[in-house]
Amino acid sequence: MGASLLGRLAQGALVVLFVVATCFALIRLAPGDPFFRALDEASVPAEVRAAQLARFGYDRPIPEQFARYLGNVVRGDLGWSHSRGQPVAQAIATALPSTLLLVGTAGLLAFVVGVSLGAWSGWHADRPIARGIDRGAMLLLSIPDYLLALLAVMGPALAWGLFPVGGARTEFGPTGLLGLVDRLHHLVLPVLALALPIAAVVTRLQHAAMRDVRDAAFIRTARANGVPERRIRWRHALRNALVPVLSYGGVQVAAALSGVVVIERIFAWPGMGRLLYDGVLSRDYPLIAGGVLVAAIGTVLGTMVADLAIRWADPRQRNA
Amino acid sequence: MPRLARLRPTLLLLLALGCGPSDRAGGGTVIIASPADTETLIPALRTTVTGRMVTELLFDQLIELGPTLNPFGDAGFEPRLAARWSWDSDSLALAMTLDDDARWHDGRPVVAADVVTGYRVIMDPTNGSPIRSEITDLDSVTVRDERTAVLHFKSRTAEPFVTAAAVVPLPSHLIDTIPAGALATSAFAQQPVGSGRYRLVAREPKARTEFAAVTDHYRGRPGPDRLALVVAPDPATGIAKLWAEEADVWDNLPPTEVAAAAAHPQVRLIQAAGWDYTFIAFNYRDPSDTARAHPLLADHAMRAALSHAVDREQLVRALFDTLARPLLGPFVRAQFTADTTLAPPAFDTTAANRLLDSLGWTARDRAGIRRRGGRPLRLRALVPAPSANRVRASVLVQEQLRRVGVDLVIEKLEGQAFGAARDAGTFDLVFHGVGTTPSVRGLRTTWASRTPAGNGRLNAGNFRDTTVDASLEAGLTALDPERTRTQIRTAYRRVIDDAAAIWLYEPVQVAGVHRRFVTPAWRSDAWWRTIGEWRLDPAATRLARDARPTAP
Repeated sequence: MGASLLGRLAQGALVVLFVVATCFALIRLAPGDPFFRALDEASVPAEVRAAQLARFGYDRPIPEQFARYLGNVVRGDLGWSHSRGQPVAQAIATALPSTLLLVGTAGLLAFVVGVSLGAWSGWHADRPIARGIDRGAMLLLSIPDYLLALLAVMGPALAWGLFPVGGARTEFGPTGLLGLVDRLHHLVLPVLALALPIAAVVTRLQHAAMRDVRDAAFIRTARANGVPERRIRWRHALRNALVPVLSYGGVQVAAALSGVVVIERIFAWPGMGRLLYDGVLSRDYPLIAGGVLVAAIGTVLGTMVADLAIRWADPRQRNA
Repeated sequence: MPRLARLRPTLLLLLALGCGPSDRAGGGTVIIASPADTETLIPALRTTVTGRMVTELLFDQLIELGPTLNPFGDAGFEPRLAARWSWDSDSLALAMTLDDDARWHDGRPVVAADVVTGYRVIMDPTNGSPIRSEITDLDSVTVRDERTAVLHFKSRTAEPFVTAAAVVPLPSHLIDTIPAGALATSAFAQQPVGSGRYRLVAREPKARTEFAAVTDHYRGRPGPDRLALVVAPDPATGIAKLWAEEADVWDNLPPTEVAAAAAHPQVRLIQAAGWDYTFIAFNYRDPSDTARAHPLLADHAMRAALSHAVDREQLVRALFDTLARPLLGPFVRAQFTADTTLAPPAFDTTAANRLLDSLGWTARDRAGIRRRGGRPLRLRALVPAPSANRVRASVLVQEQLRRVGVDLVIEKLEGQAFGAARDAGTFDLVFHGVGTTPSVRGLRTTWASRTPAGNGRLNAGNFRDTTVDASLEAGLTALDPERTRTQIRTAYRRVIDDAAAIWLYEPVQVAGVHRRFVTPAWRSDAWWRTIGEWRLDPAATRLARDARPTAP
């Protein structure tokens, strides 16, 4: 087990290195640079831009830049964000907790709701209400997340005034306990907009998996051995049927660390998705590299956690 | 004592009348929602409009262009850190005497050495200041005495005070210890000490920047106690924040949202002249080899034909309804040098067809596209994807050109890719935008011939005309504003007569402002400059955030 884990970690480190190296090179091959600012007015003269590029070493060959970058990362220096005017580590330290809060809450909600609904409807797949849940999930899945987010802004936030339109807190709002309530209030709509599509996928996956499992031989055996129905359903069937959901969930939640751009933009949520998106638009090389590094580590770790969870859920995987 | 006691009710009444209403009218919190954040807090390093706003809130200029928006001479300028100024006898040295009460936010007085530091930061190439190329007429800045800085010009120009305004003093006691080239990454750049009517309280890049009023400012206490710039990258969200009273200002509402404002009575719409204009620049050079003339567009008849083919009135109505006007030329109507008697080629498809026929593009394929020598009349247009208006305009222009047999291929690119392609000249047409200011010195970079010195840097189509160059130089070095205006107008006329571009539109600005604020006349070029004069309407209901902040 220990050797396997170490092997996975080594593999993960290679994956992270490959991803960061690829992004590092690709963004430098794209047109533009960190000192090209305004759309129409290239108000920074070419010679000034050239001098700035040289000052930060962006005129050097890409492999040399990458080697220097890796050296700095090893020393804990992720570089300077040109578009934000602050160290990259500081920018990430501000954005990451916001995204973790958003993604963590949404992920938890999506899995609790999705697994519960999917498991119940899959077990009772023949009932009309179960078919309704499955079709409802399908309907929800077909609504693009940006549309869902915009509808949330236009309806509950703007038209009905139930929730704030955007941001992570009320400007000059309350502090202390009321401040915490205010933050939760701001969290509701982005969490729902993010969680609902994931919950729909989870519901459908869980529904299908549970439906397949309920007629499996080991379930029939358990039933023949007089194992209580409740125990069969929740201990044996669900645990087995969780495998595809865990597999999906690990990747989905990890990917969401860097991929909730749409939700973060629409709700003006200051997280990692916006950080990376803004970084790419402004060709902020160090910010992109730092963001990708964190996202890649998150994805690798998320996948590993998912694998461990699958091993827990499916004993056959432990010997695979 | 008894006499004082008798006077007490009167005194109390006077206090109530004198302090009460003004106290109620002052204060408040203004939340400015914006799709973009500033890229820096240092005036010398700013490159965007939002950057200009934030740095001007934090740092006062020596002098500031007043509401007349006349950049020529000093009549249009108002004192700021410089209380007064005078020319030396050689007419090349401008002595600026600083206001005795001007202080940095840390309490230190603003001194002449700070003006020198401001200049040095701009001129130090390691700082990469974009303003350096804007003040080429300035030779040096020296200290005459503690309160007097002298700006030495290389020669007299039409806009020396625009240059003086660009040299923003910086605190020498904090800046001079920063190593060369390290300013942008210094602690000062993240938490600057300014001289403006607002000081920085907190900043979260790309999310929010908070300011507090400087209560003992030499220009007087500003009205609103607090300001916050809140970044809403999606304009729909930012504007929705205005409708929902989560923000107080959105300074450039799109036409669709202007109509929606009727449903939000707490928002007042303020219309002002626009300073941006959009046009389609023709590339005079061959995109595949910029050393050669463009095989089609170097011909005036072709450019004129394309200009005649575009119905600009219809395009403006479709895009903006009444919230924009067809562009007259390379200027906006609000500029001092604007010439409303000039007229670009009129919409006339008959003339367009006749010109294209005369150029030999007579055959048509099944789709109606003209052909000559077996080649279709096809042009490639660069369009910036981030500009929704230009993307929509490109589709309308494509259809209008198709009607005269021209196949316009739209190449929509994201911001930096668009800029790179435009600067490389790899296009036939480019949907270009220019943000102007009252100063006309920008014409040198947009319409003068390209030179190694930086002229024509933004002349996307590589337009060259010696008369335009000469007129611009004559205008920008004339000492008489009327002569400047005449020369600049000559340049405008030449650019229009050459059909260097299809002049599309100049939108008006429509800002949405919460009604509880009473605002002075809206500065179309820089509305934030009067934010210190905003007052809460005593009759309006305050919001929770207007409560006076408690002292830290």
